[in-house]
Amino acid sequence: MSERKFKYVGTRPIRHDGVDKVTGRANFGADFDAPGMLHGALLRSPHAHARILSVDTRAAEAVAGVKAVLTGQELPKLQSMWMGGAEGGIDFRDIAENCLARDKVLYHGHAVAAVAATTPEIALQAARMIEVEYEELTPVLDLEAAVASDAPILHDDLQPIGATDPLPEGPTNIAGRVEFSRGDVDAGFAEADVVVEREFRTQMVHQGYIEPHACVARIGEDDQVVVWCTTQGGFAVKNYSAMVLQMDPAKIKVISSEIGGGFGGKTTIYLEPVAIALARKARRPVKMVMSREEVFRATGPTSGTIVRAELGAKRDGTLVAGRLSMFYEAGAYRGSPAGPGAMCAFGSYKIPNFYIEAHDVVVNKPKVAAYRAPGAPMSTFATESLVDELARELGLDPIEMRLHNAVDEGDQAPYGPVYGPIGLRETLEAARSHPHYKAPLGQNQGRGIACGFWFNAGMSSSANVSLHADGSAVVATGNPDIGGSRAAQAQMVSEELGIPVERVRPVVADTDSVGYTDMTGGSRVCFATGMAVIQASRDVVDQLRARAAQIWGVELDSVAWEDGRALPANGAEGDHEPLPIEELAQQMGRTGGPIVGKASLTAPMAGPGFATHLCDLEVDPETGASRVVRYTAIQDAGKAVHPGYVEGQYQGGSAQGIGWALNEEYIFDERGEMENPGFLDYRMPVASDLPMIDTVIVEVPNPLHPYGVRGVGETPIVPPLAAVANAMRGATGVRFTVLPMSPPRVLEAIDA
Amino acid sequence: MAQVHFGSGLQPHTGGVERIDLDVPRVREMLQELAERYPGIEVQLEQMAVAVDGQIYNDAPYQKLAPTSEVHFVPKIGGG
Amino acid sequence: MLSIRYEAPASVGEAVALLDADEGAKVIAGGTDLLVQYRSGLREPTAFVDVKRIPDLMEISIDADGLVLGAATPAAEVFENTEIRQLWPGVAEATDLIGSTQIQGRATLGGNLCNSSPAADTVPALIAVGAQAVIAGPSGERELAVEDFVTGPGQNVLGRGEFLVKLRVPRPGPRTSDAYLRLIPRTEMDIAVVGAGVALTLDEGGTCTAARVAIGAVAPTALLVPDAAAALVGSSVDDAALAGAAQAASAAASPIDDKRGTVAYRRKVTGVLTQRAAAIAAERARER
Ligand SMILES: Cc1cc2nc3c(=O)[nH]c(=O)nc-3n(C[C@H](O)[C@H](O)[C@H](O)COP(=O)(O)OP(=O)(O)OC[C@H]3O[C@@H](n4cnc5c(N)ncnc54)[C@H](O)[C@@H]3O)c2cc1C
Repeated sequence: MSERKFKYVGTRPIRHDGVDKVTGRANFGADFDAPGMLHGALLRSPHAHARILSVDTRAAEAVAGVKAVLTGQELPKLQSMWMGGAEGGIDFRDIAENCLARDKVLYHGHAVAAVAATTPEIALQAARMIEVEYEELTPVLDLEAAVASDAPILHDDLQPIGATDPLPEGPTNIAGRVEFSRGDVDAGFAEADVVVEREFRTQMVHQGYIEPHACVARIGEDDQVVVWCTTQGGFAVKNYSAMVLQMDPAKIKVISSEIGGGFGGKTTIYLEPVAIALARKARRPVKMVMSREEVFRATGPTSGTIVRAELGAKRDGTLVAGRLSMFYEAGAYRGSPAGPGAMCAFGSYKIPNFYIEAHDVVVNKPKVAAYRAPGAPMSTFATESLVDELARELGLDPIEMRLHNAVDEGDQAPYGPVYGPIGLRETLEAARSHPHYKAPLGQNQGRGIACGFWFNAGMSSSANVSLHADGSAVVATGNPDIGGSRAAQAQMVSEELGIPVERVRPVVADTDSVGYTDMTGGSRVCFATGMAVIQASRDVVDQLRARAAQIWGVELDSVAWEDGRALPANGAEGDHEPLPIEELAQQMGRTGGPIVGKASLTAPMAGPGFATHLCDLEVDPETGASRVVRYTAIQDAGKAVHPGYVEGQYQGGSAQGIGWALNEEYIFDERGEMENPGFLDYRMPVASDLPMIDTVIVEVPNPLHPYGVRGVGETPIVPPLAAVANAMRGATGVRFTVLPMSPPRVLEAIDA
Repeated sequence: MAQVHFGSGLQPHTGGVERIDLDVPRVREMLQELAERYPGIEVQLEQMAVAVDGQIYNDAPYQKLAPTSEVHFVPKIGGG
Repeated sequence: MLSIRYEAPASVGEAVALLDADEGAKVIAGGTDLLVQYRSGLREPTAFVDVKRIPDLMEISIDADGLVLGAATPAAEVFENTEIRQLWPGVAEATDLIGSTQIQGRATLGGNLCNSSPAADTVPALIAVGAQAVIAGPSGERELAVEDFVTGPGQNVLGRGEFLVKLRVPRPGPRTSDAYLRLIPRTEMDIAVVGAGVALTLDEGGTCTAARVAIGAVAPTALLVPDAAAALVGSSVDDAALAGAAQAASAAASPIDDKRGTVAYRRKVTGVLTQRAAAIAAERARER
């Protein structure tokens, strides 16, 4: 595989969807309108925790222009059924009640009722006229309050899941627990020359995708539903909506729009079942678009966490023991990424003795959703901060310390199985020899380094490659294109067929037009869907060879495929003139009909991606304000199909991680209302806040993929929290254990 | 025989057993065998993915197990 | 509220009449505050009275007396004016801090003042240089100091039918200059956690003969801090004087704990920025 010479893979063509996106022509979720369309609006809870005693919709129904009003009671009542899955899994009852609350509201902003009307203003005004009688309950707003023995309980019927041994009896807010261990932890710590111990805290943060959730649902006279929406997975919207509404999924078709970012936040549904139900009631199409405020208040950020961490090493830097006790906020319903957080925490190091426990805890805040490497940044913040402290205490270079303990192929991952070929060591070595690592630091500057690890989800994908009579091709998959996946897929088709990337049209197909495909998420598209694309392309090549064999009157194995041409082979060399793809395509009708290649597969999950990040930070010691002055992200991509978009992933993940480290946080008042539901006070970095983020692509091929590809989308957000905190330690002498390291917090710590 | 490992989270269900060797052709038979030996464990295992020789499968009952296969149970992972 | 009237009067008198006739009407200049507030449901005006067609509100003129700045002149035009940048660098830099390039194409100094946010960037800078606000209303024109214009968060002296026509800034004498600094956690697109504007005059020997210090975002309105100015006057704007000004500014601040910062933080940073702005203003004054 490593021998293969690529012609198109590894180049940097302009993405096929690029021009329309930069000129504003592309259609995103809110850009679609249907004739006769109504506008939907939601009434949201003013309380973080309350019982719904009654809902009176009469006044709203009486407003001129209102065509339908819907309450949670009108949706089918589902039985709780927990399905273990991504990030703790899903329960369709929870998804349904998160779309529209039924008996209880569980966070400020929880949707309670919906209205469809002829204009958005009427819908909103009418929604406000719905009268809801609440019995207010004490909100549970932080992890400590949630696990306290006398905590108010969110769900009376919540059954803890997982490593159940020490879980409490009776009603609880602890929804689950996972545990991993190896060796003898106490003996390990006894053996350590140095032990460091800290408690780390992070706040809820949002993905901050620029495009709010939006959809249009239309229902035909035959009850067939079409949904246009912005999502990371059309099939998920189809199947989830069918479950929530207890509809036949065959009746729902989903057309995904262009997507203005998701980062995991668009892997679930909020509006679609409501829009479908309203459309069904009103018998007219219904459009729903969230405001930014709604996105913050009522979609899924990622968990706030508490991580109690302890790490021990020998004098030479060898890690001998680690202990982590972690708590992750799930928000209103179970399903925080505590599990993967626990799996990744020690993923980079050989630690002979460790104990990790992680709790999934419900609180009266919005239900979390996936966010780029869900769970890993917070646990890694703790471990990479402690590794840094150990290196300082032992007087070791932080890269040498990490190299000394880095996992290699054949080492056992903390969650059990043995690693295949991995590139952590290579990223550390690249960091050590990078000019950034040797550059002098200025006054009030510090340098931080941190590693990180995330998986590469496999799951199911389908692809069709259709050849046109002119020898160009169309590749259709079911994955909305978030990070340049269309360009990468076209490159793979080009590589196999031997035609230029511009002659391949990559298409995001709707749920009626392509085989089942799991979501765009889990760093899986270039890897798993890419594999399907390569297989489908090879299917096309086999058919092309068969057509050439037919034309030449030879056996199939006497035809080779090279550079977009059929060549006589296997002894037949020179017998026939090569047949270029254009000619074979032109003759398709005569030689057996149109050529369509297809492939469907379920890929295993593996090929973990490791990264090492370097961060230089400058701190104003009088104001606590800080600025990232230099940042380098180094990561193993296996094989970078489109290096430009791989670099874009490294940069984007770094930027989000830096924001998380420095300024982003959900701020709640004592009643549980978010105080900063907008980009003014929810401070994501703006372009001028960051230096140009330097990148280095390391390539240690993934044996599971024909080109060696690994997913790259998520790993880049794992190291920055600790990389920035370690740089802050260098610049200020203070170890920060609480994020974000906003100017007031930094100044307070410096002055303390 | 396939070596089946139980992390500490599962050991309460196996009476503390960390590893057993099973002569089973596929993941499905392995799960059946485990449910018989350790009643109740199947509820836990349903929620988990299976790692066979380092590759993680979220849902693969028909995955073949070689006599030398190493099996671990891990939380299911998706991602953002 | 399902429709809003839009009016674009061509004269001050017409505007006064429109505003006087309808209490729900709001003046719109750049709209960068008003439209955001309207869209988020914070304000529901009955009419937008667009004042950008009134020549007086779009004028920039500089003469021996100083600057006359129409209230609806876009920030970008103010900052691009090299004479303004030379004569009132602090006001110019405060103007250039508003939002981003796009925002500055719309935003106005008049809007910044009339929106009356305690965190408005140009207000402390304007107070420091002794700017006056010229107000038109049903009973004619009146003029008052900018530091007396804002009366509380979102509140000001404008009565029914009144609006801001222009700002008047006296021309700085020799060895006089100003500076404005603010603290935001980001580099732009943010709102001041603390702001400080300082204008001062030095004599030929480098001794400070006059100073005005104003602070923003640390009280219900931007504040003129005479004690901080007093700490500078008579000194060579040396470290001791700067520390005194910092202390006085910190003492004058009466900030609140909120999502943007704590009381202790804002107090301390008020001093830090005052000191830094004073040092910059002195440096500039020495060069003039
Ligand atoms: C993205 C963004 C970033 C921003 N960043 C900053 C920043 O960094 N610093 C800062 O200080 N502000 C900032 N702002 C706020 C805003 O841009 C400024 O306050 C701006 O100066 C307002 O001017 P405007 O002309 O747009 O006002 P408008 O929105 O038109 O008006 C604001 C208010 O003043 C009233 N008004 C306007 N003109 C008059 C008049 N002549 N007479 C009487 N009343 C009048 C209006 O009725 C309204 O109540 C930002 C806003 C946005 C959207």
